[in-house]
Amino acid sequence: MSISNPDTPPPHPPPPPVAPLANPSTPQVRPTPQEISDEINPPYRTRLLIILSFPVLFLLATPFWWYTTSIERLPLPVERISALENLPPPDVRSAILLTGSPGSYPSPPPGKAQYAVKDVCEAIGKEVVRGVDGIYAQGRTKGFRWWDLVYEAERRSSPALRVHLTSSDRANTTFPLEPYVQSTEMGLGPGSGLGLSAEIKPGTLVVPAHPSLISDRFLRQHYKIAVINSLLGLYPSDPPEIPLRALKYSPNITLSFVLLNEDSADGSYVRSWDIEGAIRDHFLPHLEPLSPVFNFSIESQILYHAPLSFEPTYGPAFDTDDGQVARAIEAAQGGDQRAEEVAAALLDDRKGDEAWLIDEEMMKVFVNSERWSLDSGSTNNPVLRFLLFVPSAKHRPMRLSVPDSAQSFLLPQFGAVALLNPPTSAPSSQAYHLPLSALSPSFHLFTQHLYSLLALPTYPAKVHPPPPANPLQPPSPLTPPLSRWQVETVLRQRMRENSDEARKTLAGISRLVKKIKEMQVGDGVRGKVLGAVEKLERLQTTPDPLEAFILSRDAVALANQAFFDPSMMGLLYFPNEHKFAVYTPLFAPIAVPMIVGLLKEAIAWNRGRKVSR
Amino acid sequence: MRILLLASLVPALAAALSTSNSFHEALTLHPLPDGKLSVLFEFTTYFASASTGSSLRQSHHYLTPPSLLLPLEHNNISELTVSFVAGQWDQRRSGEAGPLHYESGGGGGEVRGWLRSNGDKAESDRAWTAVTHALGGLFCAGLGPSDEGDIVRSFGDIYPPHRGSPSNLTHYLLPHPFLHLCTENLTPFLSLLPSKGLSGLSSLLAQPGTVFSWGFKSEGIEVIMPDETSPGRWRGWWEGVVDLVPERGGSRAFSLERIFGRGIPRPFPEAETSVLRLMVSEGMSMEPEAPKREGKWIDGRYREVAEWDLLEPGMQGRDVRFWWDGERDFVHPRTLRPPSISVLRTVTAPHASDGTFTIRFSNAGSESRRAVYSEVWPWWVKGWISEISLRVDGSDESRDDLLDSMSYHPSTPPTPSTTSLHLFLTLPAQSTLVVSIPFTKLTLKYTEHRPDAERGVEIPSGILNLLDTIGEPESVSSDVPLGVENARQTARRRIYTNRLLLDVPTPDFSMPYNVIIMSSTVMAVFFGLMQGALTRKWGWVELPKGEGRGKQGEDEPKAGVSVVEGGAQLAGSSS
Repeated sequence: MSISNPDTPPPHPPPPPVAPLANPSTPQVRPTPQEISDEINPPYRTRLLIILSFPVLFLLATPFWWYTTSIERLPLPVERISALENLPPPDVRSAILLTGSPGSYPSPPPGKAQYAVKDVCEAIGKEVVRGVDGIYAQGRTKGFRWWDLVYEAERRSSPALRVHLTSSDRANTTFPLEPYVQSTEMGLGPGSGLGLSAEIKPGTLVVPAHPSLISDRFLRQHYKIAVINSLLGLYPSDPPEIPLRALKYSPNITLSFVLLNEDSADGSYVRSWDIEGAIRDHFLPHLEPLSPVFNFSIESQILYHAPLSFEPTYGPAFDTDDGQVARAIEAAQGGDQRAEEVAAALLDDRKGDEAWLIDEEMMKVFVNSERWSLDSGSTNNPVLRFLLFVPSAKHRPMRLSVPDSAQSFLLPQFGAVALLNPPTSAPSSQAYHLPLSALSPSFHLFTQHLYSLLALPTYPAKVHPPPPANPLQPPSPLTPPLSRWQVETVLRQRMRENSDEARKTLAGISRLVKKIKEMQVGDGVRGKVLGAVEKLERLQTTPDPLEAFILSRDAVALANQAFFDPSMMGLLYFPNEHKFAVYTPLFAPIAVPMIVGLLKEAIAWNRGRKVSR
Repeated sequence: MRILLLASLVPALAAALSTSNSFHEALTLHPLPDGKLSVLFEFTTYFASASTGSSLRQSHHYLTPPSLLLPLEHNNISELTVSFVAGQWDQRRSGEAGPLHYESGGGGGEVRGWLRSNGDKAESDRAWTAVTHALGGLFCAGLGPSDEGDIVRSFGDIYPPHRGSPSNLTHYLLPHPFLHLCTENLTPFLSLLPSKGLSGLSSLLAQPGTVFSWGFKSEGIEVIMPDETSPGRWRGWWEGVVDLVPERGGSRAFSLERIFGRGIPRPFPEAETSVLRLMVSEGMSMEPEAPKREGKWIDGRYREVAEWDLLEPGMQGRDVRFWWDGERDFVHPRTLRPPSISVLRTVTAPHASDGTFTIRFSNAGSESRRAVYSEVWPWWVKGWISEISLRVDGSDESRDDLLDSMSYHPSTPPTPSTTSLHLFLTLPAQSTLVVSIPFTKLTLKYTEHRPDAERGVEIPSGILNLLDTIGEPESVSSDVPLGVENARQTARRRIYTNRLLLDVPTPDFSMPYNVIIMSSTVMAVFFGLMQGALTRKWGWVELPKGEGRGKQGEDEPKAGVSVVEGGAQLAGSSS
């Protein structure tokens, strides 16, 4: 670092000899080294400023560096989110309409005041409400009542459930009263003998009393008990949990119906089916009322080759049809021509009761998803698959080796499988068309599986099956369509599921943001989180089940959008090792001379102070 | 319950469904003059609209795969073609301008189609992107556009719609020249077929080990969606070229067993027709003899086609053998008859940055032809359109009169976009037209480079669209002799060139690290220097007389002293 070439003049040549003015006669005096030093070096203060200017520059640059590398982290409403977690379940209220027919209570003796039906119902209703509140207050059944009884149908909104007190010839002649739910086909035929049942809408909870009981002293008590029991069953304080086998809530659901021929090139096979009719009869009555909750789309296809990934075992099938045969024989003895044939066929069928059996292990691997294309995959919606499997000629008949001879099984969150064996007597290499009647048994099972897979509520045990409308007409094999009560229960169930989910997601977001300091929280994410929080808060004061459900649905959608927002995984998230690897080669060589310079200056200053002292 | 079922299972009336839904399959064997055999599988399904009106969206499928048709339906597609090609069709050796299936694309992958548009361009673009991504998922290949700008919109006239008027349809083309047909594209193809590769002709195809050992391979689908009046049609094809001559020479006699390792498969029961066709070449014999032999115009030549109905009882499991009478060892012909029109595209590149496309159109026919030649280039190929030159092979004279007009859609570099160029040409008879298009390669963006192993970027095939073809007449008067040629009597309207590999320099992708290291080094060196220079303290040191000069040699390295006159030195020290 020094000037080593003697030929070049030094940068600071020694000042020319100066003749001191005081003594012109004295010879030229060289200046002292101290003087020269002072002359050529900047003053101490300037040096210090130069040395300090480097760290100062760094300090001044820090805000800029901070600004360019900092991550936008807008505050999230953390308190409101944690407050949400401790909120009680929202107070949704349903209206139940209690009505009665004039014959359902004893007419007062002449001379006494005549009460209108409505007043009688109101009196019973008050007792019911008191009774239910009493049960909850006692604490044996935890919870609270979240429905109100009304006695007049309001114009603008139909009640969630209608309860109707009536007298009926076909009711039990003894107590207790057996409430039932009015089925569709009964709505038209006069059942009660009073000609009033035409007014009873399907889905109404009917509490029938036999005319002989009308004059009973305790009739009122029995009405009350019957209504309380059925309402406690229908409207439990908490909606049933969504079981694991059911789908999680998703606004769009695809139902895929697939007819699988194990091998159509081998023997007879099914080439077409009346799928539209089967869906119309078996599925639409259950799907259409759910339109506020789910948006269904349906697709169907036929697979002509659907090889199994395993070989079923051949063996004796479970002997289960006893009841059926016995009934048929009984009917045959009664002279029913057709029943005789049925019994004969059943007995015939029983002879060769060897079958290809699918045991429980095989059921688990039954769906060969590698080879079977079971849905279009054209959307990201969850898909429920209903598979109707037609075994190939060499695997017929195929049975499930389960004790209750069910010919279908459910695959949790996936769908259901039903087996369909074509008649053995048919000649080989024949193609069948499956009409509605052939599809009905399987689709009846599919409907039940749909209830399980979507966690749709069924009537509790306290509600009895409706009496047949017409003794000559067999009861319809169709499951009664969804009633308002069921839809409302679904709304409540899903609302709770969604609001729980939304709260969990929001809490997750705030935890995550707190934990990962590099995570970006932009305006979009914050807006979505705020939206979800607001919706959940509004949910608390929304009594209408549908409105509350919509709020919860939107809240969970917003919360999920916020959680999966791509901006939260910005590129600015680098591990610390990465930053060190980039910054160290730059800053280490700079820092060393800077710190050494500062240190030396400090040492010199310290020394200078000692010397001056 | 069981008895009910028994009564209600009614054998279907055969005609009930087949009017709207039917499945046809065909296997065509075409011996080529150079001792190879072109094998083409075609599976055609006619179908009615699957959607039914009801309160819920319903879609019911019988022979058709919902996974193919539902995305098309949801995205308003009217027609769609996907084509994958591996290998190169040799126009000179095969004597044919292209593979047996006319819809096979040029090279690599390609998706093209017509969208029913309601005038909203952004909505159509979104639908097209969605459907290509869906099909990409279906075929296990990246068929979607990597960027919006990859979509080519100016090819509507080259691929006119089968149905509907182009005014309310939008055409989209998406070339993927770097895609290759490979095994994972075959399985999804088979799963779209109702026979799933388990019966019928598809079971011959479901042998990846066999069919992927063939030379040129082409797979594709063409879907025409149903409308109010007419049913839809979807057709899948698979074509390959088998070398018949054994490696050490010998006879090219062949049989189904020899090609596929098995005889005629068990029939697929829903197939309406299932035929084996042979385009009989001269001196060919077969066993069993074809029940039906007829003359047909195929690709500009009147040829004899032998046909077997595979649904006939007794055909299952049989083998069909073919041989050339009296031929013991196959001798490769000295000269091969060229196809009436052939196109060859090469690139000559004097520098890494520039090049020239040289496209040679050979017209072997006796009449001049009219055609449109189309090219699609990525944005970084910048053609010098004003420099396009035409000449006829054998003379240096410029023949610009053969270029009638031109349509040019330039790209917008550096945003990803495509250039498309359509040249309306006259191809003179019995001669070769040479078109040269000079171009410059622009600098690619960091993210646009293909992986190093590819040594460059492939650009799509050029397409020669013949304007004067008159189709293949169905009914022919019986007095046409076999082998007669009429180049215009063909349904092949498009002839594809080979795709081209343009080599582009591959940058060193370790650059960012070099930059970090370099700038850090510079900082380390210069910061120390600067700081030292600015803060160094200079001092005047007096040395005893005579010592300075004498000791200079020793002192210098040690103390860094420098002697100035009078024995005084100026020593620099930083403190």
